[in-house]
Amino acid sequence: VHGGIAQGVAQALYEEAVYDDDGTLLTGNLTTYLVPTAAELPSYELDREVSASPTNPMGVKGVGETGTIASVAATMNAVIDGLSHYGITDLDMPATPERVWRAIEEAR
Amino acid sequence: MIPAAFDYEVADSVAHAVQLLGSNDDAKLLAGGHSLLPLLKLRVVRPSLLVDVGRLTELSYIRNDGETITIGALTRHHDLATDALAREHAPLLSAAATQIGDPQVRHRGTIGGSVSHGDPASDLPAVLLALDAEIVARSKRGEHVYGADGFFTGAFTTALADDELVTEIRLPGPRDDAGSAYAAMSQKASGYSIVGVAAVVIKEGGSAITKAAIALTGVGEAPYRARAVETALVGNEGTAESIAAAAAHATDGVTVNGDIHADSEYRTAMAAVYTRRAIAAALGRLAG
Repeated sequence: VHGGIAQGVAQALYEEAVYDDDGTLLTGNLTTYLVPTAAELPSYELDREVSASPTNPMGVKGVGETGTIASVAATMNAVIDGLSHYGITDLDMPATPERVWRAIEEAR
Repeated sequence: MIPAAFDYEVADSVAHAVQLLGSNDDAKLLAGGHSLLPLLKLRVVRPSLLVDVGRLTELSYIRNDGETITIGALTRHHDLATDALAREHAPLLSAAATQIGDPQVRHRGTIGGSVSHGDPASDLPAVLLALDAEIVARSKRGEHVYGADGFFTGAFTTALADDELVTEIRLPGPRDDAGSAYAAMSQKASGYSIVGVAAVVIKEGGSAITKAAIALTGVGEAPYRARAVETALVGNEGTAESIAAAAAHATDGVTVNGDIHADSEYRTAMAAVYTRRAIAAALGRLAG
């Protein structure tokens, strides 16, 4: 679950495939494509809602990457909330420092 | 990711190293290897001979004779960051060393290697510029002492001749009326500085700044002294507004780098921000 959340946070803030005009990938290694480490991620508080699946005899469900979908939206909503006093309502992912700075500059 | 073929020699003394280096026009020195090996693997550089100076432990030292701090070229970034003498008497260099790359890089990388390589985004050259350091080089022809100012001539180019080995860095000893700080914003994936600023401010009595030395790395083609910032700081009392006004000159006359991690407009803005932070932190140390 932690890994799934991390994957979503990374999509919202860090990981980006950048291409040049000729279609060459400029972020083809780990010194240019930022895969977050623990240092780039928050601590997590987890909770769970138990509901057995009705579709199989054991009641089990796959939970891999359950955090991924919601954590992208949650992270971006948090960034937008932090910028809302500038009237900013939208930002492309990932919300890098440069993108956030540019959005603030344009809103001023 | 496999290097082109090269010969390999291990130097067992400084004299041996400069003899090997001087014997081959196409030789490269290998110290920590964290900058050179990736370039070899990408075949960006194809030396015919690698001279390994990594075992010259006699070039690993940090000394203070009261007037000058001398640092051996093979001193590793980790040692600069953690050595008690460096932390007390060369605090700016020590602070900058803590911000280089990651622990693996700091345990392998050397100050001489960083200086010789001349990467336009490496941290230590900014510190050497701000401290008016001297860089001592040896070759078969003898010893040559370079001032840091003018040493870093461009991206991956320095004033060093091809047959010279950097043996020592000399810094002026600390003074009670000086405060210093290093502030950097790094590209998180690589650890390289997008902007790195070394600041030294001096107050020779009174409340106004009488001397300032500000140097930036990561911003231009080579690390440079921001003279316009220094001029604006002299006579300055160090209010927040006056520091910001001085820092706004951080990229005067400089063609600012732009890349996928920070275009030139953003980098220009951050150069002013980190210059302001470095100056404020340096003044804070002076007050404390």
